[in-house]
Amino acid sequence: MVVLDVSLNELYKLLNKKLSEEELSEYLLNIKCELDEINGNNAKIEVKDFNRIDLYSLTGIARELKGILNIENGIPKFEIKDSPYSLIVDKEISNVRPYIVGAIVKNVKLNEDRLKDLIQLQEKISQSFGRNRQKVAIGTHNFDLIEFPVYYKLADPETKFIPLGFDKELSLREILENTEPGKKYANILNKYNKYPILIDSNNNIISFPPIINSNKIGKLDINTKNIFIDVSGTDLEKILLALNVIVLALKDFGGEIYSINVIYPDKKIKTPELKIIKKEMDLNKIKKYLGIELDDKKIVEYLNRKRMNAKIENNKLIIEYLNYRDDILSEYDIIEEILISYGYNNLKPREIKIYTKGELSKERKIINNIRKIMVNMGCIEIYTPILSNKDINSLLNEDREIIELINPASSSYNSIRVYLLSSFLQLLSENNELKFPAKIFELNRVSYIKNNKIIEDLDLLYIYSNYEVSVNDSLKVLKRLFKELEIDFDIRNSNHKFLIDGRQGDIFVNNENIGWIGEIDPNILEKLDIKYPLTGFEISIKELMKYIKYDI
Amino acid sequence: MISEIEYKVLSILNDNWKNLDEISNELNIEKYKVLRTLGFLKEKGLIELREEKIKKYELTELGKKYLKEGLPERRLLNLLKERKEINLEELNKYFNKDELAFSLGFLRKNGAIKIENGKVIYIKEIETYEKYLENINENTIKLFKGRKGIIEEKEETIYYAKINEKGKEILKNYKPEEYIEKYTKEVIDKKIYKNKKFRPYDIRINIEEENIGRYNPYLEFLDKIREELISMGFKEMDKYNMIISHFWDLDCLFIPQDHPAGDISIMDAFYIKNIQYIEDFPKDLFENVKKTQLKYFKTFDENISKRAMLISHDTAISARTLLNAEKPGKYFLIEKVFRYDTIDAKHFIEFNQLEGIVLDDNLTFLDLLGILKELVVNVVKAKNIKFYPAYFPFTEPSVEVYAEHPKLGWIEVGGAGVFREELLKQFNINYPVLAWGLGVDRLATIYLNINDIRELHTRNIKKLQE
Repeated sequence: MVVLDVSLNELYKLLNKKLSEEELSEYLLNIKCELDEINGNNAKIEVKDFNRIDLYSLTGIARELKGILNIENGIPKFEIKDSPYSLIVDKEISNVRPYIVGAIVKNVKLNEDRLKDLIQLQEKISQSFGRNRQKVAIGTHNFDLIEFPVYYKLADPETKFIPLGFDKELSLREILENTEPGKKYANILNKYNKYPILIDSNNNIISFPPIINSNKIGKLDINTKNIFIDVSGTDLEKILLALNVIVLALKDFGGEIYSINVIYPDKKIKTPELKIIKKEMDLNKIKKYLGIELDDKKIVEYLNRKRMNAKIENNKLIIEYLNYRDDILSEYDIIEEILISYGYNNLKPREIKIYTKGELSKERKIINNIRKIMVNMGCIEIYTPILSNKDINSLLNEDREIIELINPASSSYNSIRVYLLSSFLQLLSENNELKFPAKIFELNRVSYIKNNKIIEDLDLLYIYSNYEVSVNDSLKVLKRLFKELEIDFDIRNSNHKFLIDGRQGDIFVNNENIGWIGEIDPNILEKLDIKYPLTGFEISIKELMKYIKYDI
Repeated sequence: MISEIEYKVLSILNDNWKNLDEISNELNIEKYKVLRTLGFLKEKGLIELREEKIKKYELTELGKKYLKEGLPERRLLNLLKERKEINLEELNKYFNKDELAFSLGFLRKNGAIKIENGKVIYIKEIETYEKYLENINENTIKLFKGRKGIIEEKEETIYYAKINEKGKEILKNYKPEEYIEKYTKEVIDKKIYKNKKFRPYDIRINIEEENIGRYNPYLEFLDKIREELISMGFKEMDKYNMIISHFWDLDCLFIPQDHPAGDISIMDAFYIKNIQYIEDFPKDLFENVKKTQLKYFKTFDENISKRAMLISHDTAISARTLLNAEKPGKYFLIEKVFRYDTIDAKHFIEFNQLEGIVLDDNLTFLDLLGILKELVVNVVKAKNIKFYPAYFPFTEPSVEVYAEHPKLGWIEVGGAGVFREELLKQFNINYPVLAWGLGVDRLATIYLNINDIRELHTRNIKKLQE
């Protein structure tokens, strides 16, 4: 989840308009953001759309809100000037972190809030969209301290510089081993024996991508006016998109965008590649699935408010938008933009007229039938979690392999139960309260591995407890159940370790073993501190289903 | 009029006070029954009843332990007798602090030991007092005065009863053979009721209510929702599994494999230790999904796709249902999903989701809003509904649904959307499919009036029985 800290003063300055808390909350919901809380000038805003990294800054939020509020429409204005500056990419680096792009933004007007927002924007993009800096990492630097051209190349791990926030030189190796950002992102570089650096023509190290900036060139403060941005990573399209978002944000802070030349061994590109994207859409399809009648003019107007330009030619809708977003894939994406602009709550929900027959699944009908028989016999239905404690599971398990979780949330729930009895015993050991006589059942899922195959089953567990219990108390319930289901069964001797010797059996239907019946061994109960005599049975319903003459 | 048991009790009482124990022993009837009967007899004015409160001393659990194993000073003395001298520090291992402090003091005062340079040294054997614990008398109380937790004082009530003149009168005239006591089959067969009267009961007597068979209230709630969906023409999906592949849970739903967990909650999933891979998908669909993933997200790892996991959202089963769904078709499912979370009153790692899809030509977003409205009325029992734009990787357009609940005001009840074309293409479906999901656990807590989401699962069997 991406949650931003936003200065409301700055936001309202960019909007040229103040909003009440209710208005802000409502409008934010309409751009897929949610106002979590307001604390004075600071608001916490959750951005729910992971494809819109431009919204990770108050400038992006303002840009989108301006459209919704009809303050400013169509493609945002922008201009990119050429510069003579170059960023030279060394051949060697292509195996480690192959891509880098950059830009210069001059005359940016920063203040505390804006600086905070800029840093937050970089962090959120590299975290979520950049997959924790693996694919995208962003650096912003003081342009005035840099001597161009700048070089992006590999350096020996013992190369030293003063990293941001430190007062002495550290080697690249020391940074990875001993500093917080180093440790956090070391996994990106661990397998290499040389690391990427960005260095200027005076041999000053600008940064150690994607780990940390230098303390001098890479440190911005509220007086910094001219900023050099680099975005490095493994995916050229992604880093170009991130760069577009950053330069636009800085432009909205009053800056002027300048391109630089990025010189790769085999090609030369000019970045940022911020430009207008033009797409042709099938207007008939849009109108068909839009659900509301809109004339062409209205469609164009609604798209304008989503910061797009649009026009209609020969049944084609031609849309133009700026490439700070890349989430327009098909007509449905345009339909959503129009509907949002129109206002979801202005739409009239349509009563659906598809006549289909509603029906429970066959499995559910059988489950419900068995539950009904058990309740009619005076049993109380319990419902326990499917995940259970592995040690309790092991007490019961014999020939099944217990399914264990790699990442359990708690040791109480670190495996899947092999029997419903595991969950029942776990419940009773956690809360030792029963009223005599107790007739209890559960029909629920179990799972285990047998012969290297995952088995998912539905089991029925019946438990009887009283001052005095016998296997007959279970047997009579079992007999009634099978009589109601019109299925024949027989019981054969068994030797389950969790049941008392000589007072237990396996239940067979059509020569297939479908479960156990017996008295629970007090040695097992003692281990779980359970103080009730118990008898019961557990049968596989999936097995039983084959024989149920079902016609409900 | 007196009952049989009242007669029995009355008949052994005389002019001298008899206590409850004596009466109970003489009649061989449990004390509580005798006491209850004495109460009735007193109410009827047939006996005199008097209570006497007495103080009584009993050993506590610790006291009983000392009686069996010896007092700590005895154990300490025995140890010293054997070893002659022991470091104080070492003794801390064998005795708790209070026991040790008392025992050292006691033994030293009585000249059995001395303490020098942190060492405890044995001098001679002395008497310790465990034998006085066998029968607690005044002497015992004196000896153990000031030692806490060995003897406890209890108050006991002793009841005495004697018959009075009215009682004697009733007793004289009581003829048990004139009444039918138990209503038996024999009474019917031999027509005994023709000649005798039934002895009247006190039918206001306080007894426990009968046990009842009962559905689990939470499952009953889910059953009710299922009924609503059936009446809306939805068919229950039948392709649910707890353990599914990453492919079904995430990949086939247009979710990039490398998206960081934590961003999208459905990616906070549980993975399985013993079985790494599971191939529960058709090969051609797998190829289609691979193509889509490579086209839009550029990477696709077949091994990640085959990883076995616990289902983290029921949309995975909606996707499975697409494989051979009918058109037009309406399908729903309420089943368990699993997500890694910190367990507290608001979060549990297993919960049920209500999930549905509608397939037909020409469906639009407005039809989806129509279904959502119907659901909110029938399932959430709310009249007002609001819609806001939302983001789900697998739908476009997407919507978040808020309903005005009679008790809670506006609450978020679910999310919905039109399945993305890019996703449907993988299943060779070229018409719209509407998809929605509602959180039913939240509604269940409101319906069942509970504050802790963990209580949807049974935590106390006795509570269900009562």
